[in-house]
Amino acid sequence: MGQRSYRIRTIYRTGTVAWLLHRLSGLLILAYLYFHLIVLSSVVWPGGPRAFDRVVASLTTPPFIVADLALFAIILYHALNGVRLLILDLGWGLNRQRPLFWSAVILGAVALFCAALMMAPLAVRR
Amino acid sequence: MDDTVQLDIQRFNPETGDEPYWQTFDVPVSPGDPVLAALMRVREEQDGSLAFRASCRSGICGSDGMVINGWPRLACKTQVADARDAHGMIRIQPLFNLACLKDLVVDQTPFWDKFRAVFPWLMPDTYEPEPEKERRMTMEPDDFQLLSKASDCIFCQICFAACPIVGLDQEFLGPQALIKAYRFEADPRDEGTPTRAPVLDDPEGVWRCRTIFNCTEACPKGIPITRGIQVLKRAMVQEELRR
Amino acid sequence: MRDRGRGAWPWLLQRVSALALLILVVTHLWIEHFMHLGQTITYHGVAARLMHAAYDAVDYALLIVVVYHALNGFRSVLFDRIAAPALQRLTTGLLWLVGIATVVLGGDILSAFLDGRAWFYL
Repeated sequence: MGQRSYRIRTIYRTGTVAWLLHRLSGLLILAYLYFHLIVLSSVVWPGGPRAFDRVVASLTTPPFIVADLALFAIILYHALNGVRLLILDLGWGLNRQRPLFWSAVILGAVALFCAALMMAPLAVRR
Repeated sequence: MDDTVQLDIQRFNPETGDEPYWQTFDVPVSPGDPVLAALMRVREEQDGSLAFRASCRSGICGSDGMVINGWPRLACKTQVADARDAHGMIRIQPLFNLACLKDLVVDQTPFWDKFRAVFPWLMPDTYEPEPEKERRMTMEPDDFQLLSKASDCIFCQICFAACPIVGLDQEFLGPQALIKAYRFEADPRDEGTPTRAPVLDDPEGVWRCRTIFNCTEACPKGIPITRGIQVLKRAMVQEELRR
Repeated sequence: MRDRGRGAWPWLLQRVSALALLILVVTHLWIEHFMHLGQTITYHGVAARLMHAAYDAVDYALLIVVVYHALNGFRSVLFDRIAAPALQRLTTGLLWLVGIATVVLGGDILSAFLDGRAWFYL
């Protein structure tokens, strides 16, 4: 038998994109979780509470507030697509996975817009 | 012949061992021709070395699964008129997630190994005395509908090629083995759950499915594969809670 | 033959923890961020806020549930490429250790706010 050629491909359709984004957002949130804990652990660094205040002050500058909004978008997607997955796991909406995905995206976009309106003054004021 | 279609076919010759390459054929077609008819014309009139599987030509044998325009389909159930793009071209590749042996022919071994792994046969309880009442078909009509659809599988391997998880994790049982397991798990005559559960309730069993729905969307027989796998997941949770 | 029940519990608990996180994360974000939006965050401000028993209950619960959900999800990602049962067991064991260490660190941080003195300093 001759040499074989392996073909392993991912096909980008709604369900695949939803899964890849869920995975990507999950990994980013995992990375953030540890970043968050490292930042907060400044309270148990040698400087104690004063080190905490210093670290937090440097993280509430406009670039980080924009990053906060991006983080919020990532968490929103993971949460809302997670609700879609819970619904599918309960055996509901199995014929409507695409409308469910787009509902999650639209709902997330609306929530993100509201959060941006709330946070915009913070990024501008400083 | 009133029309011509351009087939862009991915070729692979194991004897030379060269990388797969693309070859274009201009094929005359008649209205109503499926892609398979065009492929057969290529083999008969232009290049006898073109390898592909086909048998019944009517979507029953499940031999001619291939990737047409990036999506796995049966060549005999795909109309040339539907598949051709604005330039009159159709791209054809061997099925994904299986090793290519030659041109459009893939090595089906992993698929059949996984199918065999789920004990795909009816296991009646041998110790149970003959039932006084007829036990067959004691299902809710909806459940029976799903079981009936699940037994329509023609082993075309299209779901296997469409699933991104199968491509990622070579050990994952894959949609076809799981829907076959469902077909027997859902059968009221079957007592095989203790035998099948260790295979299904395993990281490489039902839990690897991430409800991506490619299998369901690709299945040429319209089997709601994801729905069946979801039923199996809940059944496995219940098995675990009952223990 | 592989042991039974090697997948049902992690799958079920991932969904249960997801449901809990929906509530806990929203509460956490609301209490810690939106309720005091725009105010300067300081150690004393956070410590005063955590005087409410309900708030630190939320944070303790969130810490444990989020670490389980995150590492269980990460395990599921890893298992797409790790198929050998022995390696899978090793991965699970290592992730448990990482998870316990993370919860201890998180608890230490919370205690620094709650009691004014942490269990240990780094």
